[in-house]
Amino acid sequence: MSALAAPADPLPDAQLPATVITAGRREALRRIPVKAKVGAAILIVFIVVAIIGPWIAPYDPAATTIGQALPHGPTGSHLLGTTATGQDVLSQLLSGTRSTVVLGLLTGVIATALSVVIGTSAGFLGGLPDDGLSLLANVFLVLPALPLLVVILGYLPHTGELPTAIVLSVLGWPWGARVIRAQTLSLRGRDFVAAARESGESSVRIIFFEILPNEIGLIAASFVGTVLYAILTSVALAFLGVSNLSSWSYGTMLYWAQGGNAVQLNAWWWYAPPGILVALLGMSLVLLNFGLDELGNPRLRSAARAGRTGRAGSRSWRPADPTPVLRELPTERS
Amino acid sequence: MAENAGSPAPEPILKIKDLSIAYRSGAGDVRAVRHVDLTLHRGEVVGLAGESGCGKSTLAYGSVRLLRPPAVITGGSVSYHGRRVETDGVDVLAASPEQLRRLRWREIAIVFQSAMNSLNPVLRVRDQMLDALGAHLALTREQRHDRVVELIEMVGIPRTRLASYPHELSGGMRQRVMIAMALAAEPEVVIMDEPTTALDVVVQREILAEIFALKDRLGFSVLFITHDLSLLLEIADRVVIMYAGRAVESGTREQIHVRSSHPYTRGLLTSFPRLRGPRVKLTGIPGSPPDLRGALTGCPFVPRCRFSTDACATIDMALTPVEPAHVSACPFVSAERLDASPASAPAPAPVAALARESSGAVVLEAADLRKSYRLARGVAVEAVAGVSFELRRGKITALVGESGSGKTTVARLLAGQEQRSGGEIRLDGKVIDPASRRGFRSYKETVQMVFQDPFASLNPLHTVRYHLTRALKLHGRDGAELDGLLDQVRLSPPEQYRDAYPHELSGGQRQRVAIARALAAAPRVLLADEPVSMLDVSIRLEMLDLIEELRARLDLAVLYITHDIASARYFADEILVMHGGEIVERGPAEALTQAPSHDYTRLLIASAPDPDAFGRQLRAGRRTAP
Repeated sequence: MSALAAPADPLPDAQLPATVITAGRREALRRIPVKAKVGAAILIVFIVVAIIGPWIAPYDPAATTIGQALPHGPTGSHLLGTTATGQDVLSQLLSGTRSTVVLGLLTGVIATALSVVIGTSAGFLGGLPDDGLSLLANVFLVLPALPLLVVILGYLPHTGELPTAIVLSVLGWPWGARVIRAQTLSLRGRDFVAAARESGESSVRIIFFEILPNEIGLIAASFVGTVLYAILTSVALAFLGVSNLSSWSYGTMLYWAQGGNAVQLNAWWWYAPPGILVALLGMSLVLLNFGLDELGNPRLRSAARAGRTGRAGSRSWRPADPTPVLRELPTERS
Repeated sequence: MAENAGSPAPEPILKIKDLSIAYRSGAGDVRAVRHVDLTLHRGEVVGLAGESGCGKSTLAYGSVRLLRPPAVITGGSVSYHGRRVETDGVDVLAASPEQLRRLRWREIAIVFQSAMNSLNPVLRVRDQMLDALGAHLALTREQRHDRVVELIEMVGIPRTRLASYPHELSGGMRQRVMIAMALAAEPEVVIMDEPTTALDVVVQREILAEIFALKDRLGFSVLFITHDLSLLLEIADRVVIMYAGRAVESGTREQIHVRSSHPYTRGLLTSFPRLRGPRVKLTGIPGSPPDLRGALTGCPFVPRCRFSTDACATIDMALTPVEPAHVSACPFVSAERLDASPASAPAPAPVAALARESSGAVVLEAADLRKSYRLARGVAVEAVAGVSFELRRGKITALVGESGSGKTTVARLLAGQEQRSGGEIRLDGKVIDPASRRGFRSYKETVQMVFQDPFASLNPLHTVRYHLTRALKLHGRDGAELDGLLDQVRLSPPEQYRDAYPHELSGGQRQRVAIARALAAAPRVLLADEPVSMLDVSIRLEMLDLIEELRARLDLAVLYITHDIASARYFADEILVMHGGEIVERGPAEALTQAPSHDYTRLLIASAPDPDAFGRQLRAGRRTAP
């Protein structure tokens, strides 16, 4: 009922015209949860900064001032102050965004691709392949990720984000794979899959055109979750010094701030901005994830709405309350 | 006593007056119940019938304020006059949550449709019943335990089953547990929402007999909601027909059965094939119910009504008396006029099936077909135990049985959707293996299956165009034949349906698309697995007529799988009755239904709802019941 969006037809056609029900594009946009909109907006700002940041940075982020030994607070020429060696913090932030965002997205893409391929194959094929792939996923799940990362990344050449992204992906795919496998298992038994087989569709076609499109919400959520995991982990690793310390990212900024005793020197402008940006980036991804969840699960949406529309007295409606009696419907005409 | 012929002035126990209920929504409020009056008298069984979406469940749940927002009651009154409450009755709409809590279950109990979902799967039956008793009645521990045993034996379940979990009980037993729980506090009114719809006919009959025996003993009143009007005509004292949120006709069982005077009621009555009497062509009610958002002016049934006139657009839908105790919202049509009209009072024109020549060549043969499933601990269950039959061109063979009889498995084996564990399948006399990977696609050129649930068998993310053009291309046909397919299944004009998504279509339209997809392969055999059981009663016949038409036009061999032997009689040439994985009886449809020889077939026929019998068996059974 609530899926119908067009205005009411006083004397509708008995044939129920299909066109009446199609929701307009504006309506579809309106239905996107606020959480998702806010999350997406913040994320887009980060992506824009990642693209143009290094160009709009006022200084070379690595340029030092000869003779400076203490961090300087924000001034007109250095809006976010400088580090102990006189490097501009704002420029470091603007340049460092790219590395962090690229690493996150890259890991998200690789890990999600892995989990989709492994999850759907395991779920669709069943039997022995499923047992094997599930075992593999479970083994990866119980690997102690952080120590392993420290060891592996310590050996890898620190050139670009790709090696780190690959290692993070290899350790990060099993969560998504397990969820997607479960969903595939349930979709595999649906009648529309049997009906597609009945038409003579091949297994590959069934996986990619019948099953996968129904998992888009789940895959998107898994992607967002993986990006978040990659960003937090990469920041943590850089903070520990296990990364290319000659490049700029939020993690390396925190590493240098820690090394330069920023907290002890009360140089909040040095350590707080990268920390806040990591938190903000994480929050945008979490909001986006919640929003996608609501979009894919109408029950969450109507639960949110039921709390708003149904009022019993002054408090919001609870499941045990009786049906409200509303003598006058505001929209009622007759 | 249920006939209440002896009691001069029946006391009303639940009075619903001018009740209106709406579902709030951003896209316009759905006004699901509009100014309905309904009175339930003490000891009476009132039946509430109508298509899905007509507001019958909303009315019943709304009258005890069990609906949750966005549902709101927008007008009217409901009062309850039980023996145990104040003399002037309880105003349900003004009652506090605490008053309502005392009213529900103790005074007005509800038996829900889905017993599986209403029972907590992790609690034993005993614990659930104890919980319910503890929540509502002030009893000591011992008293509660005694009461639980008493209740469960009252509904015919041995007390040893109290230790079972819900999944260990059959569907019928679960529904009995629900009934026992509903009756625990000796309520005066029991609302039953399709309590037997999910059950097989034989079990349905047992449960109904049980309900009536209990009703006679305990003296409660029943508000019985169902879409199955023929069932109501057997069991109800009074029947209320609802359409588009309004009561359109109300009368005693006999009045509705013999002299119904609203075209919609007649439509519902002619939606059910009968097991007795001449085999006639029926019509059902073409079209679908109106959108309930906003105000409907005039009669909402106009677009589907054969008798509509200009005056129908402005009538106020007030119920006017036709005869004592019989009211109808249609002042223009009388029972006599409906009787005289050929389509609604079916002329004894033989169904096309009767006049068919019987020279169809055998296309598909099943010989000693077997399928067993391995359960845990190495136990094997034989779902299909040696079934043999043949499908002939231009013939409809019905496979009738209850759930679990193996009938769907037979279809899936024939379609190659499952691997058989024994026996042979022969296509045009040649032994083949449909489930083999290599031959599968070419086999699909000949044999196509249509699934039971059109809401599940179409991918919600693909348009009608995608579904049909894919099927056409896979079988080497041009995607442009799409319009022809839509036309074949009577979805016209095609441009209205080509780009629709499944959720934009009604159930009947979806099933037509599913059939069109099967036809894209230009098959010679159509396996139809309960093709109408998920559809509204009013359009089932339309769908069967479509299959019949396709059979005639394309010379299809059709396997029609159903639990409804009356529809098999209406529609099929030959009937195979399946029970416990075996075919227990087979024969020409008419001969088999009129003179069944196997005990199980007789039971099946005796259990099917039969309004012509006026519930004779049930009522007779009641007298012998304890």
